Amino acid sequence: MSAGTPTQRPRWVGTSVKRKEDLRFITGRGEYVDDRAFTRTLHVVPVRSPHAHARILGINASAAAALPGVIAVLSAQDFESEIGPVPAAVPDPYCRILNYPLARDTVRYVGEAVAVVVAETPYLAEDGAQLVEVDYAALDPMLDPEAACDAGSQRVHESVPSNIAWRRNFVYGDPDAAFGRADRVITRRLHLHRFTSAPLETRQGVVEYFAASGVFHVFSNIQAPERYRPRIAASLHIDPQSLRFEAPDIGGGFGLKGHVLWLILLCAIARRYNRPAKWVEDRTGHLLASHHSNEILYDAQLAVKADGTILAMRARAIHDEGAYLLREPKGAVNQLRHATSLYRFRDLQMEFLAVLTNKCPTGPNRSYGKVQQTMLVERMIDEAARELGLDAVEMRRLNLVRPEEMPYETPTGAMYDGGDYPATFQQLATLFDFAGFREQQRALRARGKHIGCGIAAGIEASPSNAAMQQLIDPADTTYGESEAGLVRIERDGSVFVALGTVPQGHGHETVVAQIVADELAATPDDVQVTSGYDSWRDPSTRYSGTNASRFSTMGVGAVVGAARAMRERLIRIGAHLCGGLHEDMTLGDGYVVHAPSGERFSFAALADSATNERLSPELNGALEQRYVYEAPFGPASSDGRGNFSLTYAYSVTLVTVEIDAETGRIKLQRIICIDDCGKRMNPMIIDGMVHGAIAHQVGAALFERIHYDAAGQLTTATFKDYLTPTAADLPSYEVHHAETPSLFSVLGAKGGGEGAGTPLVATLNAVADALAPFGATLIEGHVTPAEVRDFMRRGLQK
Amino acid sequence: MSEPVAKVAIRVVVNGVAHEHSVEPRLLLVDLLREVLRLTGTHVGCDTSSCGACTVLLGERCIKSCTMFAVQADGQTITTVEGLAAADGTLHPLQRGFHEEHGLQCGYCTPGMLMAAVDLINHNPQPDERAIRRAIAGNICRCTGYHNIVKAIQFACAELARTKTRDTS
Amino acid sequence: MYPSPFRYHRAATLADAIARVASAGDEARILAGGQSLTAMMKTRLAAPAELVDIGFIPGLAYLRPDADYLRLGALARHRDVELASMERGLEILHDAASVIADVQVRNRGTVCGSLAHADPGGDWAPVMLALGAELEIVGPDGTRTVPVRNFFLDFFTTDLRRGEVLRELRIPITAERRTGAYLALKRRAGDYAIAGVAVSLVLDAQGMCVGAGIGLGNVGPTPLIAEEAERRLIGNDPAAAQVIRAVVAAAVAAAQPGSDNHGSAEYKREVVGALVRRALDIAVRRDHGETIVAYDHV
Repeated sequence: MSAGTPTQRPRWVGTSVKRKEDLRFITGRGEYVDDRAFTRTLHVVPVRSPHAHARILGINASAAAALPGVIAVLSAQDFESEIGPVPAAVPDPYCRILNYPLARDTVRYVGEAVAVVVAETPYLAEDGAQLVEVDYAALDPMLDPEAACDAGSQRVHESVPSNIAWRRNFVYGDPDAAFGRADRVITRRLHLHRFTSAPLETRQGVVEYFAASGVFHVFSNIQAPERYRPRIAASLHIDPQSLRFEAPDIGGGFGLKGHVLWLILLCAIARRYNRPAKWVEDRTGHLLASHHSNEILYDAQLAVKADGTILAMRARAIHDEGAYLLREPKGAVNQLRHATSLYRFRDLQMEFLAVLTNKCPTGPNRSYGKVQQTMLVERMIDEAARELGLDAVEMRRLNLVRPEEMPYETPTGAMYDGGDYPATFQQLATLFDFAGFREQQRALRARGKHIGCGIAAGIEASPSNAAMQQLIDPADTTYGESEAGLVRIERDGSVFVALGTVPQGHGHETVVAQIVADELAATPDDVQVTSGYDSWRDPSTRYSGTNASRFSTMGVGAVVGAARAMRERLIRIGAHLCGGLHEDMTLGDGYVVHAPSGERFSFAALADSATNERLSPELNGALEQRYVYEAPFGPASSDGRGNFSLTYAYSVTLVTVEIDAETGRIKLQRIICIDDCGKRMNPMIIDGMVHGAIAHQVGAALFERIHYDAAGQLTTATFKDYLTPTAADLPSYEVHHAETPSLFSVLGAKGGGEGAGTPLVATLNAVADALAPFGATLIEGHVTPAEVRDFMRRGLQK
Repeated sequence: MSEPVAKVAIRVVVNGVAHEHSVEPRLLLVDLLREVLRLTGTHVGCDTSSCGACTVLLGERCIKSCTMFAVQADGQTITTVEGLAAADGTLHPLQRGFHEEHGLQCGYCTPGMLMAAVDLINHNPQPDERAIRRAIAGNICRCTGYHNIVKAIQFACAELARTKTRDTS
Repeated sequence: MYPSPFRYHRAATLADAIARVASAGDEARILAGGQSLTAMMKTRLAAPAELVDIGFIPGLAYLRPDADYLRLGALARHRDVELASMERGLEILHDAASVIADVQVRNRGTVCGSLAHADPGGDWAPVMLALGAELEIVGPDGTRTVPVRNFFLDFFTTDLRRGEVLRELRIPITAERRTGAYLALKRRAGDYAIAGVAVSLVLDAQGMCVGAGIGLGNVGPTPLIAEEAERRLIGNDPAAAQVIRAVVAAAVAAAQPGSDNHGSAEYKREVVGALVRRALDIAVRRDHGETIVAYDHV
């Protein structure tokens, strides 16, 4: 059903309106989970496994339980009948890998929660946790995902036949034939390491149980509560409607805040003791046991012609999933959506293996699946250019999808919704003097100094069609994506908007106000948008939440639909009241105006008439319009093709570095990013997102690496060892934009701001470029000064 | 520890208001502020004194309130983000700068950033970009990439310089 | 996240603190700035039964030069050194102060506390070794003075005996021509150094080196003195290429780094060599009147 078109040009959408939500944050009056006071709260602190793999022989909690203020020490056995498992979302038999909040007889990664201490204060809970004695029989950990693939290798889960929890080979076109035509085949092994978006606020939650009504009030910083509702209800054998989800201000999400198992546990504890059950994850716990980004071992081949034309790509991607599958292998199929990236080659083979190891599970992090695919494609292109003796930028240009081909259907069935890639590369050339840089590089090399320049291009696809699950489990035929919005005119004429998204710093209160202001000819100050999310207040669908950049398509679609429905209703009420024609009515400044006569009605007057039922039967009633926006998605086909996103934003990033030849230190010089996320509803907010993505992804290349030692101990379990970069480690960024409105989204905006991995790979490519005289081949997604020195030493030895 | 530890009486002035409490020695200053005084604007983001979300002013100096015991603050003056604006609600130039320059997204690091920036401009009213970045190097942000935070602080410095010029002219 | 429970005693004087620690035995720790100790207690790596707080004792927070020494009291903070205007020849102190952790930690952490904590990655130790500093230690058996060169015994272990407290750090002031620099390679601003190098030189009227101190940080269980490297400087021109080569080689040989996540032992030796060469260069240029920000050269 068409929601109608606006009669006037937008005034607010497209402008950098300052944020409405800022005031509470800059005055310290934001409300995050840990800020709300509850009475008689029970504090829940986990006891974590020190072993990567061990049998639990026994738990001695007597000393802990005897501490004053400790209410109980609970393990899996205490919830035997109460908490059912969340199975892995893969086909049988691997769906027998069961997820529980607490380990049962075996621990499978360092940091896995074995028990919880429930106490009157968090200090006492930690005292108790320290006293819990767990008797383990240590087992050898399986840490190498390749070794884990071997038949007969030690299994991480004995309930399933192997460590390969899922595998599938996707073939598009005829890659074998394409490889047969190649002038050259570039073969490389690549390894993208684990890192984590590490939001500054950890995962937290307070659950209150109301016995009289059976309602669980889940107050938590979870990004997409509605997606978890069925799973929480199923696990606890409760009515899904008995869950009320409330998300307050959230201190960053980036995909990390999907802690369904903890919420299940808190619900059970709250119900058992009839007191609010509160968990505040500590940073160590977050690094040990939330989830890490996808770690992938690629064996990749690129088939190319001598002139740089890419004919085909083959890759086997071993995903090191860690010890449990909670969201995975979603990250793998996420990569498929835009597997050919910005390029025109039609023949592709990607084989994925989701492999279990005794490490923390992996899952959604910022740019989920996109940073991983960009790593593959953009490193391979750079390697190919080097082997062919071609310029890396020119080789990319040669292979770009052309704007006249838009909308462009990729071999995987993705329908790219617009973008002028060649123009963006041209724009980059005006921002950066490549020839000048190469000259400078040559001159400096002669003096033993090394600078390098790297670029990377990548796609950000969003939102996610639920049909992607069908790529993993063909029996699951769910598909779609939807979001709900609501616009209400209050009795005093003010405009109230609610929707199912859950912002974590995205500025929804401001952008939504801009959108509705345009639709209702008001100003953003006139439009009040709810903060946070409350399932008792806000409309929602089963997909509601904020992740995968879905707001720009789904949230916007819902809000625009509701606002246009409201505008239509206001016009019809106004026409009814003055007896005018529909087409003579217009909106302005909080009034509906009959243009020919000038007669006008305030929103308050219209609300009054409607609520007091002085109009016709179809116009009477509360002045509230709900709208559910359904993305035009369909199911996947059996061969793995499909359009799994609505929009395909892209970015091209250029990084220059200077290498300190003696210490290997990598100094960032310039970071230029050209981002096209379609119509920018608030350019200031988009810039902020791009800045953040640059910091995350340059950070992952040079600073942030999750590291396990040979015993499976996480050596980067604090912010002292996991090196999130500071302001003193990063330069300012040069962010530019192209703006190609999406052909498929309601306002032409595309989901964006996640970086597509281009800052990460551009940094790697820059380092590789700087080290080219040493014959360095960068395999890893992360490079340290010591490793730079290794490359230089080895190169000099040759 | 078998017997409970003796509490310690302390007196602190926070945002101009005096408070007296009897606290466990191990109570962290950040928990005195958040849990006892219910000033929840100061946040906790890590366990190892690395992230700076808990930064407040102790006297004139910015410190990490998670790495100090409340008992160590006895008799001292503390300023948190809630005390930054004037009594009539007029925002501090730094607060205005963060708003004007979009120096925050999720807002979690913002109070700590503001307090570290106050310390900076108190002793270096016209810092260059590098001095700004070094002054907030003890404050981790995961949303903004720091770019606009630097601009926010520069905004405040410019505004304060203008005010000073006006006042002294 | 939270420390174990502990008793708290606020000392009125150092004598009071020492007496208290003596009576509490191994169970009590001194609390000054607390930036190292509190962090360890929060992860429960340390769980003292009692903290004796010397932070309220008046008259300990000084940083003052006299005829013989630049004296730092027990409660002189890193930040005090960073903000102090440094006389020529002691820029090395500012070099170190400005790269320790971050402003917040520097506002609380004390120089003496940092030396007593003896983290091998600390920035002050190599500097104090190079400067030939001394420590005044008070304890139940009285007062003694220990050269910093004799202070570090092992990994996190100093010459401090049970119940002793550092009361003052003394850096010899010399009327002679002095220069120096401290450089530390850090992965990220504020981290512990992968390797730190402190060079302090005393030069005669011709610019020849008559005194030299070279301290190496985080390349051994304790901070190290590169004695042979120091000897190679005495009587020589610190700007002469062959002298620099010999000094660098000797300093690298003195380093005893281990391999870890930040690099192999071989790599760290390379870093030591690079930093020694650069520190010497900065020292010489400073002596010629140039103003140099040391951490720009890492």
